[in-house]
Amino acid sequence: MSSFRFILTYMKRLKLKYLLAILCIIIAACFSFTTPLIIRFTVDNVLGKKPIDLPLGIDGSFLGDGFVSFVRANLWLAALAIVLISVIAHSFTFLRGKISAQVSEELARRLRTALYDHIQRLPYAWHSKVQTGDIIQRCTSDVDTIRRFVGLQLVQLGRGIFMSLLIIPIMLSMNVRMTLISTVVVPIIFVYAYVFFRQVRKRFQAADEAEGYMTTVLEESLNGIRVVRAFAREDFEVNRFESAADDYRAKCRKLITILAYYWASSDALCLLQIASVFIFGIGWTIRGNLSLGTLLAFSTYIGMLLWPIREMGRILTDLGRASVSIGRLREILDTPTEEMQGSHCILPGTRLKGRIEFRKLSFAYDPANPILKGVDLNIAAGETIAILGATGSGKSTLVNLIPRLFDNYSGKILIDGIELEAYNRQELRRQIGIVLQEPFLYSRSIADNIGIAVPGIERERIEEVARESALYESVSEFEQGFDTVIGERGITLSGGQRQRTAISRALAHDPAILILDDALSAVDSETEQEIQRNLLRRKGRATTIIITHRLTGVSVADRIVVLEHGRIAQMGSHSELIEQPGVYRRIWNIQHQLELEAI
Amino acid sequence: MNTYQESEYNSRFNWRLWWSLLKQAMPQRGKIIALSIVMVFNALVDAIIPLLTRYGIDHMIIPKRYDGIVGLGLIYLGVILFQFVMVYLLIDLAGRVETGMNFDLRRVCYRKLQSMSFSYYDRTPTGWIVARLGSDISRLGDVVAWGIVDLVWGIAVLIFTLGVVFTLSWKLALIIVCLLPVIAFISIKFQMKMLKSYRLVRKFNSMITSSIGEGIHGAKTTKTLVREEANLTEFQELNRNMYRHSVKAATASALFMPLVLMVSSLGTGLVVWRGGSAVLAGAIGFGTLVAFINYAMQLFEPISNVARLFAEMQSAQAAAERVFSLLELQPEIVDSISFDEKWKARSMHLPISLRDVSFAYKEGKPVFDHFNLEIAAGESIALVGETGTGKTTLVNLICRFYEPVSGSILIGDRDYTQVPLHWIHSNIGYVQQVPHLFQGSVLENIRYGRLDATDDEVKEAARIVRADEFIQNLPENYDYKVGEAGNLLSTGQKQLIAFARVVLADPALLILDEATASIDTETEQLVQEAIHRVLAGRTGIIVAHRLSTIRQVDRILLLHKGEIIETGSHPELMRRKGRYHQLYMNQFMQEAAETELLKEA
Repeated sequence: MSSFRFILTYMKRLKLKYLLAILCIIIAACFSFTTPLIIRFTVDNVLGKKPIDLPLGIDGSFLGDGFVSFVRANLWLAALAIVLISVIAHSFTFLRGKISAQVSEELARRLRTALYDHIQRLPYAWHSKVQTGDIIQRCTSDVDTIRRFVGLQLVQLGRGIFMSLLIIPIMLSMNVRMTLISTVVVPIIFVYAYVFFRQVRKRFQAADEAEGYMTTVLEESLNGIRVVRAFAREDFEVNRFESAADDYRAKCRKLITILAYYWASSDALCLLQIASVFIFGIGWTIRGNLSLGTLLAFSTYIGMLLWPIREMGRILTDLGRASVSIGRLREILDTPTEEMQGSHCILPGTRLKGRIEFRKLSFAYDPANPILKGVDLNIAAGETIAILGATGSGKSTLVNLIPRLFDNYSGKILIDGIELEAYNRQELRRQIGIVLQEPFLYSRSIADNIGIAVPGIERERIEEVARESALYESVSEFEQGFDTVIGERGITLSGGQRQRTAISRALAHDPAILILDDALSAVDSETEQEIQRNLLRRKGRATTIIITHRLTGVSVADRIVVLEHGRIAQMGSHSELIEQPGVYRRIWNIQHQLELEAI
Repeated sequence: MNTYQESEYNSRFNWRLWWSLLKQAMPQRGKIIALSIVMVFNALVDAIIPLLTRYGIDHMIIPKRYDGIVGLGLIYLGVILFQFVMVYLLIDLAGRVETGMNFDLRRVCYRKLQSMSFSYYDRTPTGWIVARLGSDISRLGDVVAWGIVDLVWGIAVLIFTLGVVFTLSWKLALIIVCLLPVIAFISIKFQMKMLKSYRLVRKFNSMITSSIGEGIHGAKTTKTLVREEANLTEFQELNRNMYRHSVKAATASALFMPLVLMVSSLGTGLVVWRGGSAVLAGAIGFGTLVAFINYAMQLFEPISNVARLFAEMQSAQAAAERVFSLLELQPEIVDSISFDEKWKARSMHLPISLRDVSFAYKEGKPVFDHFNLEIAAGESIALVGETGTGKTTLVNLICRFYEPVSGSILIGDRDYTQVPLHWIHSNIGYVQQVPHLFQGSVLENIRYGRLDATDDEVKEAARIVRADEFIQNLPENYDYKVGEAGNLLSTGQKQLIAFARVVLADPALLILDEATASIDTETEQLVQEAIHRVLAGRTGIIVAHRLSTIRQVDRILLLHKGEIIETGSHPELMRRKGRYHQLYMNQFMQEAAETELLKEA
């Protein structure tokens, strides 16, 4: 029921339209029932010369004998009536289809927008946990399931129900015994369809899963083709893929065999119903209890009733799927989004000074495994800090906290003396430029990527920051220069070029705080030096935090912080640290002394 | 990218293509013939049932005769039983044809893919290939199997029906014949239109899918760049287009059936009118009239089925073209020699020589031009130089991932195009800069290096490369699932596992392409030691930016724009005071400068 309410909240100003679609169903149904009656009238009264008797107890005497003989003389009138009624009935069927498509597509559009908007506003902790494929599936397949439920299945259900509600009284009023015979198998067919599709759902799922597994195997072996080749594992991969494909085939085959049994038996049941109407009908007609026209009307009605009801059985089993889909969407939409507001406003056009203070800062993604354990660090405005440390020492986590990508830390973080939580997240983030080791680029041109955070940025500025990040020359070598569109997963750019593009992007909006999270790892050493020289030139312009593995990376830093297991192990200038025993001196010795020896 | 967008609508019917597709279906031909026979019987039943009605009316109801009703009932029962068997056979056979064809096509395509060289993978996005082997092939199996069902049934029903109606009354039959082209015209027209609009819908759908994907992959970037509103605006534009085209497509398909039914009601009307008059005139019986009404009402079905089939074939043609483009690919590297026991036993501990090797990824942009290099068996060499000077290309050539455009590469004294590719690859250990891991556990990933390795051997390999320590700290140690493409691990951790994988493989030729770039300094030093230990007794090629990591190799080659400009051991090169010395000093000086700088501060 709550699923139902959920749908309704996205149906604002659509409900009336939807009711209109239901109205169309009723009108179309009413008219399509008339055609068999006209044929009955023609056969019994016009051709067969029986007295008029209309169904539903309507007194037919008003039509009079004159009317019947008039039609007899002008049989085209019956033909015209059949065509006209069909035109009206089917026009309404079309309208129903169009309106329900509009309603359901609009609903789908609203759901997609709501999901996209919501997903963007969810905290980053959520994004780092979820499986992308799963979320994409929810935004596409699950939305589609709901759309089909509202636009097709519910409509078909409604049609089935109205059909039965209208046909059965008409049939009863014509002949009670015949009605009983005509409907005796119908409920069995309905229940059979319902039970069958409920049972077979697991097999559908098994086939889907087998297909998914096959795709995963395929994707992996293609993405890892270099590894496959380098280890000469082609046969191994061929076997793996073929057994996955074979499993998928087997699951499909099993499913199809069961479906074959079902459709064959269900068809046979339907034919049995039609046959019994026919055989009993013949008997009663011969006895005189039934007119030929009525028999014909019954056999047409039976056709109208059987197929929709069989479909209803199947649709009912699908209802569960719609509510599962709704549940999956709600899981996303009910996750609270990031609180954007803050008590402290950064006025547009102003720039933070960039003083950062960490006080007794601790943080854990999962309580059992703390990442930061009481970090105390003051970074002056305009200062350049290098953070060194082994993998997993908490370097990235520390800098991710600054743009408020994660909450729930204990201790304090102050920027310009104001508590981090007091800032509006978006206003704060506009002041920060962060470059990641494996940067994400949008699939648009390089120029767009660089200027993406600065509306109306000029081309000169883009080229300027590209020069600062030593990107300009490589990009100029591309045929389309800065207009080169970055393809699937940035395939046209090398890792180093991607990193430099991301650096350009961060520099383009001239942030008050610049964070380079191992952002030069894929850049060769000469280019690295060039970038560092440029960074040195703009030193003081922004508070800069550089995370690096390499000592070359610390050359531009005013101060070096060495993190070890979530704690600051050492801190100070190079000359201070080199005097102390500790990690820094060890690293220095490894990287530096060895080189001295070698000369 | 452009070449991989969904091909535009191709209106010409490509007979040759469908013929080749039918040839692909040859293994299924027995089933296809059986299926066709079943469909003919199915059509026969559908055409006969109105005749039973006619018989009942004309021979029992009108003359009011009971006898024969049991017989008629029994015939009906017989028909039902027969139809039960036929429907079962139809679905089962069609299913066999469909799944069988899909499987065969997938197998052939996948094997073809395994024979393609890297240049193909450089040009072709993975997603494109996956779609060919996934949805496109499914499409073809579907069209062929169910297409036969629709086609044979549709044509047979039409023939039977026409035969029956002309025997019953040729005047009334003419009405039905007149309606045929009208229904056929509407059917074909609408099916095409619907197909085109649904194709557009699918296009927008895939755009929406990738947009959502970008939204999640790029979440961190979007947040830090405060792009949320701008992204949403772009998404809404896409979403609006999707809505517009979906409604358009749904409207076209909502119009189709009503329109066809209106036309067929015209048939019913005409039959009632002309047939009714004939009944009044005593020319035909009631039964014949009723049979005609039934035939007129059923007529649209075979026609619209066949029309739908042709429309679907038009759309599946694009899928067929793409699948065949894959099947008809010519591998650039052809393995002419088979990998047999003799080769299996042969060691690749042999010298490697590159003679006059020229190579270019793109014509007119040579990476190497008459390049020469000799590598002794067991020698370790290092390739250094700027990005884009051909270090990785050289490695790819030596591995025969690419072959030289001209010139030759010899392993021992044999041109390596004359030895089995498989032999070369099983003797090479290659660690990439961005290593690729497979979904699965750490253990499975390392074991990929040698499939029959025991758990202990795997762990030993991890210990050798110093990966053991971090693995022990993972939640489930060696059973830790590394996630999609190993994404749950850091780049450095991935590099360590890739290294362990290679050590386990125990190759004659070890290649490390920037393999330790993302490992932290302390671990790197340990790994460096391990590298030198592992290199003992093997030929080794190391690509590195950091000159300090390669001092122990036998020979360093300094590459510049596809040429070796300096070569020698580290001390030799340093004494020569050439470019290498300059480069090295540069790297070194930078650190020295940094010391100065820090002292000033």
